[in-house]
Amino acid sequence: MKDFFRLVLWEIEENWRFPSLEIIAAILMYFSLTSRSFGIPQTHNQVLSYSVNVVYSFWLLMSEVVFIAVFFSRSVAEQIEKREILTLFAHPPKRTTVLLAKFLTNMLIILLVISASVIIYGLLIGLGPLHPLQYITILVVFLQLLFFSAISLACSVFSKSSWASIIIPIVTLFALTFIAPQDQANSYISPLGSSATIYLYLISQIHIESYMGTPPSTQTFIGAILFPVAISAFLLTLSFAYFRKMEVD
Amino acid sequence: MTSPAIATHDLTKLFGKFQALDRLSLQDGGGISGFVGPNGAGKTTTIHVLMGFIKPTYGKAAIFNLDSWSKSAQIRKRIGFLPEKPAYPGVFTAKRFLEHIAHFHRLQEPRQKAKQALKEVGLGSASEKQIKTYSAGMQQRLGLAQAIMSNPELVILDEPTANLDPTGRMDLLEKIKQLHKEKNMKFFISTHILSELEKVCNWVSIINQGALVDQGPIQELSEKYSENTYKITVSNPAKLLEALQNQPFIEQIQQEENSIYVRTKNTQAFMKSFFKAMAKEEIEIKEFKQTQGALEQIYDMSVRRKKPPT
Repeated sequence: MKDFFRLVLWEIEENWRFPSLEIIAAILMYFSLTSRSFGIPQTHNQVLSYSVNVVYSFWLLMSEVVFIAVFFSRSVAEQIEKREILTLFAHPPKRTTVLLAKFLTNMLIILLVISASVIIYGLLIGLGPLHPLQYITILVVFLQLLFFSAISLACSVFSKSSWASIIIPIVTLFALTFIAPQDQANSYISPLGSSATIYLYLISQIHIESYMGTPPSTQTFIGAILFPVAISAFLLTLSFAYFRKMEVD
Repeated sequence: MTSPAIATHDLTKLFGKFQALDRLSLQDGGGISGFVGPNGAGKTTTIHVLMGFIKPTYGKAAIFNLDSWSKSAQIRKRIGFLPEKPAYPGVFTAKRFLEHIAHFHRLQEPRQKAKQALKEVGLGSASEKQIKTYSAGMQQRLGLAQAIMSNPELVILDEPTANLDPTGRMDLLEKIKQLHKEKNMKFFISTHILSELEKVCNWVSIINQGALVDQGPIQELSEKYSENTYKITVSNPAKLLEALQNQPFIEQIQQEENSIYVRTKNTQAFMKSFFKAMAKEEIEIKEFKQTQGALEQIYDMSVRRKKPPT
């Protein structure tokens, strides 16, 4: 555990120094505050405004994916490409600990920044900091981030190319969004469809009065949770197994 | 000779169809050992196999009798390593970087240890500067600092004098000698700058085209390779060279200023022809001696011949 926390510190100091964090926060705030919900009449109330801006926003999701891809590319693929990883491989920490520290640090910092933007946006439109919608939205963002972090990590580890590991997750997002079936029952394959399913199901469960539509079935909801989690678990297992025995020359 | 720390047996590494290592069986001398060979001979590949960065295709590589691939985590706690082209996180200050390394090795007082290591390699005054501002030579020194700071039993240095100016090279070699003497650290040094190696090593392994050419204590190799080699200084070396160079008993002959270096397969026949040529051409002898093969000469002969003399 000591090595893990030391590696987390190393990762933060190396990749998350000023002004990375500030730039990401600013861009996310910009996306949140300038989204199309400002054109929606207030009669549709906070829930619709919030959901359109945060959960249904393709551009917010796109910016998340870009940040994830860039940071994983820099932290993993570029370090393998430039042989910087040998510095860590020559010292006692285990390879799996090195990769775990990189994965969790990058994913959790981006989650933290996006969650902060989401909460601030919620506060601006009048939702309290403890409003259930805030937590549902953060859960949805977490699942999106887990899914794309797993894809980015796998691309970085297997391609060992900083460019490929940026481009592949972005192309994957487009492919899953535009090729996936549009019907509600199978919408979980698309990241936006999956997020919307989880979001709508959960708000229907907590009886938010303003929600008027037909909620997704429990089966669809489980599919929307399981699809990204199962794919992420599979990719992470592959990535860690490969990284443990990876040859770097 | 103390017990060797490094041993490989029939070590073979293929990269696709390219054979980087060819049944390499080497060991170190237990003290300060040199690992020499021309560029592309397979030195770095051997070191990377020993460090557990790459897996052997066939054969075995071990450090402290621990398999380099499967037990690399245990090995890394006991060794230090300086890569050929060090790449460290540029945004860190040297001191902060070494503090992290000290924590990985569970050293007491990591800050003090980091300061001390930087001072030892002559970077005390640059300890608060970011690594990206360092020159190549300074990065090399930092590499040495991170390799030795945990007082490892064995330090593997891959081309440690690259990027260093002459003073830096001398300092590094002195430091290696000092650490070996004071802390009993073993060193395995890969290089192709032989004159420097000769000053510190007591053992040398020579590699060419992925295969071991020869290895052993420098003194023994020196005697082995100088047995039939002579340095002859004469009044007219060009004429002597002309008289001897096509003789069947000459294995190697070359002129350096007023001297001729000769390696012969048949000393008796060589002596007979030599004195005959001297008399015929009226050449005056200034010096005639059997050479004590310098490392450069051993290397040159062994690499050219590929196999050691029998």
